[in-house]
Amino acid sequence: MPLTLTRRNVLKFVGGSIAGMMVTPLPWKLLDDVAIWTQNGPWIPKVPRGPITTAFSTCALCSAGCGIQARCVNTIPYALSGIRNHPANNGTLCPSGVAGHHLAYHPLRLKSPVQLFRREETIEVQPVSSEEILGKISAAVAISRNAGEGTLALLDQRPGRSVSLFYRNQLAMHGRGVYLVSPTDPILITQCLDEMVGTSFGPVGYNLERVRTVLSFSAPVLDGWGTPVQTSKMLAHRGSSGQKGARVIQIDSRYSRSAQLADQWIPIKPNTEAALAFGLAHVLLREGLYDKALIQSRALDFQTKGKHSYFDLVGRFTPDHTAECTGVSRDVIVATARALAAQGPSLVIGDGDSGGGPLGREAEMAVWGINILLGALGSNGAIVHHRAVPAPKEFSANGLSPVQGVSDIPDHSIGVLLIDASEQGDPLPWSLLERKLIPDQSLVVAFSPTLTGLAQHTHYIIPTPAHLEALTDVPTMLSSATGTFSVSSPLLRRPEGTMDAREIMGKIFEVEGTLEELLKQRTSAIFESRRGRVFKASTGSSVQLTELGSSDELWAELTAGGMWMDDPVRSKPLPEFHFMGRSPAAYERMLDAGEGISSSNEPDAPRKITVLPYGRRAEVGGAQLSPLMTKLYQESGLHRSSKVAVLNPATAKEFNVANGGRGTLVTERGTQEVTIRVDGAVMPGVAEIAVSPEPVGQAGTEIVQEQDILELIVPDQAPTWRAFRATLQKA
Amino acid sequence: MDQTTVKKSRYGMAIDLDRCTGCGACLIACAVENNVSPGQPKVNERNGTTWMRVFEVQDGRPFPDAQTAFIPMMCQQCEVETPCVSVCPQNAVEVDPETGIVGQIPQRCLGCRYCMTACPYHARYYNWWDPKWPDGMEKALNPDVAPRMRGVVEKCNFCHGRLHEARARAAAQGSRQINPSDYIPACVEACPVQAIAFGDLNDESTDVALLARSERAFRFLARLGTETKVYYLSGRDWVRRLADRELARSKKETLHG
Repeated sequence: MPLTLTRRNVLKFVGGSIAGMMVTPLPWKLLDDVAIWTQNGPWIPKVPRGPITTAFSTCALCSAGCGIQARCVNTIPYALSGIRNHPANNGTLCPSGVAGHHLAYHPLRLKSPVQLFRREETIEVQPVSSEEILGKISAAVAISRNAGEGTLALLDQRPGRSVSLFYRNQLAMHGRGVYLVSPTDPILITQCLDEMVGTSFGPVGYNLERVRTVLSFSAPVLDGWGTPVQTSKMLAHRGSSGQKGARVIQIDSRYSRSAQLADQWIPIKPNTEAALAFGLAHVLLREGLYDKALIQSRALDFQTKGKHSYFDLVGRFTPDHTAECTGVSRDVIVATARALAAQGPSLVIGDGDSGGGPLGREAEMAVWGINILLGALGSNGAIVHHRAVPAPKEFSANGLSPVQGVSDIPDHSIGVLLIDASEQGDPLPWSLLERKLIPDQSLVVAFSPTLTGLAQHTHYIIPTPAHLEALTDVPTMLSSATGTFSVSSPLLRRPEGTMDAREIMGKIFEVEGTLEELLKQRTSAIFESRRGRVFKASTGSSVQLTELGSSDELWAELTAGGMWMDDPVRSKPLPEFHFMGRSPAAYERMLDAGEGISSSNEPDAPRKITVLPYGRRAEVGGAQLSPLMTKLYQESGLHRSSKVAVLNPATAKEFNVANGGRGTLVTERGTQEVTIRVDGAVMPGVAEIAVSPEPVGQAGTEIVQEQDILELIVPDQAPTWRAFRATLQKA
Repeated sequence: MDQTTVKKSRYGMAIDLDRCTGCGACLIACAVENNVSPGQPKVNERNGTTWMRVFEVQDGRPFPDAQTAFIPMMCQQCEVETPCVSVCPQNAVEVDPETGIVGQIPQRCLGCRYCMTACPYHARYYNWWDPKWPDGMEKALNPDVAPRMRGVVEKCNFCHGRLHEARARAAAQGSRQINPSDYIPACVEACPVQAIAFGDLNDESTDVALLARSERAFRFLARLGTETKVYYLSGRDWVRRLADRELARSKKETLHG
């Protein structure tokens, strides 16, 4: 049949072709290809290509000293994992450690010195030369040395490092230099023990292997307080492992992670820890659950002629009175004291919270007191002596400036404040520091890799290398039973224009030398001590130090993810001591700490809420959080930032705010907007707020000042910021 | 075994909820390993991308008796009637018969999100934004995993890049069977309290197979019959009871047992 070209046939052909094409792969292939083309544009980052290598180092984000193994492409780390069998972390890492290699790319990273100008909510930076800043510091230091107005102070955000010894040494030689640490620093907790004993008791740590019961006074014992290995051991009895672990009792005003994970949570009114410690001691004394002979022979203020003895003090805190002060029931107080005595060895931990602030000197002494009564401090207790990590002789010869808490120095006394924020440390309310400065005359300079935390409040910042860009050492952790030393070696090349803290201080004090030389001297001192064991990352096992041939060999092991661990020493017997310390009016101070009206009890503060700030180690205020931490904060809500207040439903109702709604917290220092979260587990009358700022995932067009809950703290308040009062309004 | 035949595996996980501390190390390790980009400035719990998410759940009792558990939730690797496979119009979801791993092929994905609707575990995430890292951070991406583009769905695949690496290592040694210690997902490796076990459920000697048979083991939404390969362990009744409830998508919808 002849084919006739008609309009109808053309349309039939076209229609048939289209219909037929639909059953061929062509349109689907086209669809696929279009999807691929549109999805693989040049704006999609391409993964790096190059040789894959492995490198070892030590994480220096906190003092746990976890060994890290880095997988690198083109020598740049792209993934970190723990070193297997490492004594601190045994192959695991915390979230901050896992993303530690990202800190070098932080959106607020600084690579050249800057001068800061604070506007209402933003910060403007102007580049300056490091010579200009160093010149200003040197001039101010010279003035302070010549008895000018104001002292030179250095705030070390990570005390205990070798460079910290260098600072203390230089400040001691300067004559008018002050070495400051955060009031939450563990050094100050052991200073409380020194005050009780009247001399340096020596470094102490915790032997958690020995412990059957742990009583924690708000310390985050199951949430980053110890090393991952220690936390894992404390949780070992959970699940199906069949292992034994310690029973953990958490005393906490907050429903903290440790409270959630502990075997028992004892909620307590904010700031009444000292009263509860005295109440527990009362039960121990009343029921004779302590070593009478030891206490009567060593405790100089246990029972004295007057009415100001420890016995008298504790005698006032009957279970009923303590229950009234703390909100903890009488039965719980009595049962807890009995459990501590019966299910020993027991350990009581003060130590506070890295974001929530210290317990306070008196409360810490009250906690030490219970430990002494329980026999935790002594030859067979869980609190053990260890020796200080050997250091070069020049430091002991030239003297060291004493360690002081920021709250311990007079107001308006600092002329030059240098803040070493090169390593992450505990947060500090700026208001607490600000009041120590001479108004309008002081010079404040930070050494920091990023424009975060306290560095945002300074006049100048000299940029330092970021985490894993420079050598640094990791000090011994408070929870460690022996002294430890490890070195974080660089895995990334540091940018031009950055200077490490040793270089900066060397230029200020005109002292030759480098950080590497300092750390090598320390390594030599350790090697010469001929003691301890060394974990070798290459073999995953430890050897005696004496098996290493030279200091260089030790250095090679330490810079490749190794760790030196001192030999345990026999604990010294408890010397004569004062339960209440030796300071004048010790009894009155302790009594005030115990009887002090908690902020939540203030009768004259209607419509105010008690704010309980808290932090997580390496994630606290000003911490240089990896941009990827948005996964934990904004994207999953697993960790909460300073912008979220968690309230009990009854409290939310009282303040007329709803779950997911907005509220405004107001104090004399300012206001802060928060998102309300309602949680039935939270104590009524309080707002739990994290100190952490929200992680910055991407750089914005302007630098916004961090909104940290600690900014709201009124400077006249006590040196601790565990709880403060604020007005909560519906936004 | 003959070197030319490969033993079929059924990779699975066992997560001990009585040990999980909710630290989030697994979540971050996952994002690092799989090149999941940091959140954009306006990101939130509903539009963020996390291949695994750790839910904080409570037993519903008021202060001071409340109890909390943390539930890491990722793709449950359904073995039977895998819902996301059956709804995908693009064949962008496949179950690897050799490993039992449910894989997502972003190049095929059209972003229709049927799979997200079908997933009973809310374990799939849609890329609302093109992946973007702060300046210079692209140099620190995992070279074994390609970043996914805007407009596609992504999810946990038991760190497929690591499986490839383990296979390459085995091949280099002349074997077709991988060494189990060479293939450990990033979340398992990172967990500071070692709450996650991983391995071949077909191999009865592995920790994960033993734990899956434990009295404490349970699976979420087992009544759906999808035979998931992610097991959870808890001795707490109220936590086990959650397994039969629908999972909340965000913290706003806090679970109560």
